[in-house]
Amino acid sequence: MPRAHFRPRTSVVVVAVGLTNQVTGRSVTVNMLLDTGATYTAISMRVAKGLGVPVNLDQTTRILTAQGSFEKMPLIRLDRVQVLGMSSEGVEAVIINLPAETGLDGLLGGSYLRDYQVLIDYPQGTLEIE
Amino acid sequence: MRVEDLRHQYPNEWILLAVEEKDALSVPVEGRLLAHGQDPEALWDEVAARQGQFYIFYTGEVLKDMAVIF
Repeated sequence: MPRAHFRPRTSVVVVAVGLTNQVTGRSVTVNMLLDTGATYTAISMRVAKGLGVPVNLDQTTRILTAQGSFEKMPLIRLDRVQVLGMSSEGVEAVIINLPAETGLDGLLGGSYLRDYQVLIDYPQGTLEIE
Repeated sequence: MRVEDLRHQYPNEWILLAVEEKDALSVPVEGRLLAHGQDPEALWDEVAARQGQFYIFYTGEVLKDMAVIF
């Protein structure tokens, strides 16, 4: 089972995620926050632009935010998402605003994770995906 | 350049690498430095003008002095 390591007992688990746009031929690895509570994987607009993924602002989905409000966010499809060597194709993702000071380019959420057995060991600081 | 070396050489910056080597889990470990700086938008503009495999990462602490609930 592929395994990544993070700082034991931290509540912030960051994973390197490979994103591929087969049309443009670009593949970019970015750092994302593991978010098992999120319905969708999410990327920032700068990532979508860089990959060349078309964003249709008329194609949105309604998202309940942590503030308790609903927001419409653009919904896209990522050709390929790879984590710890495990790839999924056609992964739905929403476009969110992630400020540069977060140090992140996205959230790895349910639209990718639902295809896998995911084992997070916080005391040991390990993440396994199978 | 090795990713770990870049983390020390360019603290608290965004890095754009053209990937030359990955580890067994497909995580980039070495590449050619294309750009670095405080503004990730500029690095993504560089990516948009190219083809290939890239790695963009921040060398500082992620979510420093902040908590998140998405």
